[in-house]
Amino acid sequence: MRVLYVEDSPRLLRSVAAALERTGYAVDTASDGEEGLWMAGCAAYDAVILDIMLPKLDGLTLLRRMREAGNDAHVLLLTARDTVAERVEGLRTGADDYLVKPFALEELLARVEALCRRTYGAKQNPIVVDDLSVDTAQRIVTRAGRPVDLTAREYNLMEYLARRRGEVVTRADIEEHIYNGESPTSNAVDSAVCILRRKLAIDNPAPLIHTRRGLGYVLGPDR
Amino acid sequence: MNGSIRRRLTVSLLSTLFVVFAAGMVALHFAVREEFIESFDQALATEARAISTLVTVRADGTVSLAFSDKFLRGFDDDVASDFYQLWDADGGSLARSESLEDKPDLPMKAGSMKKPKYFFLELPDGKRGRGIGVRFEPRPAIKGTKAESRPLTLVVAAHSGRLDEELRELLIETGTWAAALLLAVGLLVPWLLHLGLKPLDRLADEVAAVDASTLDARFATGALPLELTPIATKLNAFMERLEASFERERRVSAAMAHELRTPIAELRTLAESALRWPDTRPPATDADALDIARQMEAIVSRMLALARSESGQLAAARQPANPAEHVRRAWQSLEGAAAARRASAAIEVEPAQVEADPALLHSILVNLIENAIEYGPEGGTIRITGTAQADGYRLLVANAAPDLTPTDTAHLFERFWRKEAARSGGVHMGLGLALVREFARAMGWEVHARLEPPQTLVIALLAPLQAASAGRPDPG
Repeated sequence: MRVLYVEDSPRLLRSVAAALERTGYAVDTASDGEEGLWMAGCAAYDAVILDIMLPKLDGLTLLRRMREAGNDAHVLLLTARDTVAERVEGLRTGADDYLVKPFALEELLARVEALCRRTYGAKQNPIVVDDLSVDTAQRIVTRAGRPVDLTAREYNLMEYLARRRGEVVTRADIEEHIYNGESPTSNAVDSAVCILRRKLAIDNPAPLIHTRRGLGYVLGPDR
Repeated sequence: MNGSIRRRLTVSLLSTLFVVFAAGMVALHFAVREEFIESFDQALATEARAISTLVTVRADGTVSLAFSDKFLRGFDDDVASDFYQLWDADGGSLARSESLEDKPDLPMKAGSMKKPKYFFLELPDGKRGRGIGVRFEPRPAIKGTKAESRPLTLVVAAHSGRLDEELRELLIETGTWAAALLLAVGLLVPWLLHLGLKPLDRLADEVAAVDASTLDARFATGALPLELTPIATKLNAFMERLEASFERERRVSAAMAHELRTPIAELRTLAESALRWPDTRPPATDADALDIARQMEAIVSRMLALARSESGQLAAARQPANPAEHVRRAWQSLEGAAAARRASAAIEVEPAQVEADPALLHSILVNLIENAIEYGPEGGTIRITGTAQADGYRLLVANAAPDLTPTDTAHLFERFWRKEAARSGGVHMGLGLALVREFARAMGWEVHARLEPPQTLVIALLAPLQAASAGRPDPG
């Protein structure tokens, strides 16, 4: 899941971005409104965390411009402005959620996760595909009732495929949503998928990740 | 004075009107009563004159009365409503009306013919009556002769039953009218007062409805009477000031909450991350936590300084000071910060002796220069000039401010006000200029901000000069 965080307080930017990365998100950051708007237009983010009082371009204007440009990424306003009128204004401008500073890190992560879930239209947790279960809250994957041991990046790939189950997911999509800042080598996605397939086959050999030649991958039961 | 205007007006108007009306009605009653009695007396006088003209005196001095009781029906014994009696000069009864029959004499009271005596009496028949008594000299029996005559006394009396009846009716009528008028006054006065005081009531209701959430309300002055217009105008001006000050307070509270929320959020996130991922705690965590604590400490200590200054607890120890020396020291203390933003200073400060608290003046200058470094463009020049003038010592700090608008200068000294709403980190939280103003005030200095072309922010301090050294350079 790729998240954009726009915040002008460098310390908060640093620590929240680090917390998001440790949770498994690919995080991009911007420290003023103009940079934030530019970045929001550059990639398809699963969630955008936006401060309101930003230099150069305030958060609400940034949000309005994003919406005007047809960008429908899920936006969480994270701000010190706490009155009902301000929350209402923020939500009416096009935000999906609103969190007031100071906040509990746990709550911020849960809200970001909920926004990412919404991006793929899945509200239930865990996501179940045949005998595979992906618990996005606990970040645990099981196949045929047994846990599958995955690294953080493998889990992110698994969750991304699970969220978009039944759809063709291109290599470019995977690169954009899973890799944090670094540009993966040409066959990195293929080898990651290959490793994931192997680990999923330990408890049940029936394939779940299918290749659509020239297009990408689809997660679904074997037919 | 306590109590209601309406009540006081009602009581005073009603009591005054009651007394005036009651006195008027009594006077009217007596005037009409006199009129009634006078017309009764005229009838009596006519009868007395008629009888007196019929009394003659002969040459031998004997008196004759050529009058029959039949002439005037009342004197007859069968009607017996009128009475007369005539006495000679010695008080001997000469004639009595038949109506008197064998009853006692009438009382002998008399005045002159010109000024007869009128009186109420109890008539011989026991009824109430009114009489007239005159003393007159009878004319001689034969015209042209001269007879020796002595004055006679004539009393004519009549039943006053009808007069009494009329007077009673008059009393009832005037009494009834008086009661009706007083009742009308009693009802009209409160009603008219209600109508008259309505605008005041309305204004009072509008004032009573004002609370902290309706400070934008204004009182309509158009429909108010002239007496209330100045009150409403003053109230409106007061409301405007109140609204502005509430708004300012709201802005300050919101800004302060905002200023504190961000460092708290930073601190909380740092701590929660450290607890959640203890193995991968970034090395900068402690330095960050210290920075945050310093920032919050700066906010709190500056707010405290402002609060102390605003509540008059800040006592400025004023003593002679040389602004040139203070400017030099303030700039020196900020050279590092200036170098970081490649800012330079052009200082032309005339030495002089001004009255200042050295610590407060230093703080003012540091805040002004820090502000110019922080908010002026990178690589800019800060001009600091000081001149002794007739009205005091003028110290100006000027820097380029490309984004500032003339309306911004009105907010510059507000707590937490910043051109850009966003934080810039560090110790600048929009309190510096608010402190400058308060410290200047405490020292008896004035401070103003203005925008001069081309886009230059000039902050001017005006200090009172030390009387002895006004305008005189002092190497200090």
